[in-house]
Amino acid sequence: MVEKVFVENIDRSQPFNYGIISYKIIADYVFADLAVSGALESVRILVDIEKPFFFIHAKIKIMEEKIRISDITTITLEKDGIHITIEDESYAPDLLQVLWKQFGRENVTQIDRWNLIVPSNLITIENLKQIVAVDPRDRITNKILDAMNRIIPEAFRVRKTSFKDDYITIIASENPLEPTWIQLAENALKIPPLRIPEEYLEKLKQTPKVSKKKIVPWKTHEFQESIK
Amino acid sequence: MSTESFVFEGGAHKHKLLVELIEDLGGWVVQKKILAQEATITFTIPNTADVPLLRERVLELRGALREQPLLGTEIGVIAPTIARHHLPHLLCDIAEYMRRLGAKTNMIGLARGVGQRIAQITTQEKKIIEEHDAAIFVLGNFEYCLKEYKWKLYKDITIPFVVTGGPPLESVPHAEYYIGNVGRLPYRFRRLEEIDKLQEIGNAVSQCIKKVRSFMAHDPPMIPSFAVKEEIERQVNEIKEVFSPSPIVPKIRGVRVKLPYSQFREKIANVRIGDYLLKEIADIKKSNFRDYILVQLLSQSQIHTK
Repeated sequence: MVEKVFVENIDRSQPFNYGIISYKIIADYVFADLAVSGALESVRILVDIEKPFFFIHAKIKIMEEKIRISDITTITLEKDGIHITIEDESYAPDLLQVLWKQFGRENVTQIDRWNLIVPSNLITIENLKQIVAVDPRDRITNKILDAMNRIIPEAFRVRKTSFKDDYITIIASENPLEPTWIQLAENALKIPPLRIPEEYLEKLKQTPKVSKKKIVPWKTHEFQESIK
Repeated sequence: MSTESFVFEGGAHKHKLLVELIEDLGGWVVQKKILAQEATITFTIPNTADVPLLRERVLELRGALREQPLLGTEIGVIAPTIARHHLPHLLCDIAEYMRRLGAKTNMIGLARGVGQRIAQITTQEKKIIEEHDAAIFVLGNFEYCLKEYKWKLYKDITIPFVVTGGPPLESVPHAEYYIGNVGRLPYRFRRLEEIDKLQEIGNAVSQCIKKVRSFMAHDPPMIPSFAVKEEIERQVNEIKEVFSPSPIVPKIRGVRVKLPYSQFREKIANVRIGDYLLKEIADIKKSNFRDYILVQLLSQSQIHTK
């Protein structure tokens, strides 16, 4: 994930100041914490702290297939309606949401945890099987948006989010957004990303380092003698 | 007169010898915990010249002694808000380290401390912060924000304070102490250099406290706050029924008593200390924290003119 995330200063005269380096570290931690690295192809975070705004541009890559109702249930036609037996319970909440939306709450009868009945006059079995129960894209998009919320400084509450093809873009600021900023950021996206050199990141990364300092635990006699 | 504070950790066996010595030197035992065979005693002695005597006794008891430069102080650790952007890692680390140096810490999140143009602090928040003896403002990573905007938060604070932030700068506007390389970070402090950074903050705060104490030494209160604490504990029985971890918080100049102001004001005001009542040598006010009682000791010149 580390090599997919780029944090850049719009002002190229100071490309590696402390703020930029620390936000690279924060972004790496957040994406790792939320385990969305697999679903991202690249992330570019452009920062202009003087206007101020944060511009995040992420390309999503979805590997999973859509899950249809037939994948997680068995469906049989009975006298009182279509019986749906849930086999994979982890998708049950999503399935119920979809059915409620389609048929209305009053038409979905829950007998127990696993069994549902839908009136047979509303839909045919073949059509019911083809309904998408879970779209992995929605799940992953929510996670990515959550990650972005965690990265963007808290003060930047004025936000504009846009979804286009495989891209999620957020521009956030504490002042009203100006169209020129978006133009500025989009122009900056055309330039190839600038990678922060490793020696700058070393300072902030929590990697073990060799230290020659000798530590004496304070409860020991040696410590007491040393401060005598 | 300069006080010295320590924590003793060692065997419970014969620990009373130490307590006796502290009492003989005119000091106060602030907290004594005996857990199985282990004793932890936090205490303060009034005179620095007596420290060798104390060390000798501690070595005799095969215990260990550690200095507590911030004992008897209350320190506010302040973040712009309490969102996950600012909490918990850094703020908790700093607060915990201050506790290890003997202070009582309060973590405070401002309501609208974030941002550049929109950063602000209310009068109520200022009052709460100024009830502490010192404050630490834990700010973010961008040099531009620190230099141009963030000073709005602490410009008018009258107590001494330390500002921490990300970029390694010499100083920031309107602040006497600035510690760099302590900005918004997504991890706990574990490495040696990070612990050193916490120590640096601790040193800055103890310098602040030292200045306050030396300023106060020109015209000190009649008795130290530890003595007031002891007397209140002895004379107000209800304090034993308060379940807070520290029902009486000692501060440099006074104490905060965690009892309802409306019910216990009179009782606290009439606590007898030597020839005086507490109301004669101190101002008894309502604290900005909940409904607690704040006892602010008057200096000797103020008592004479009262």
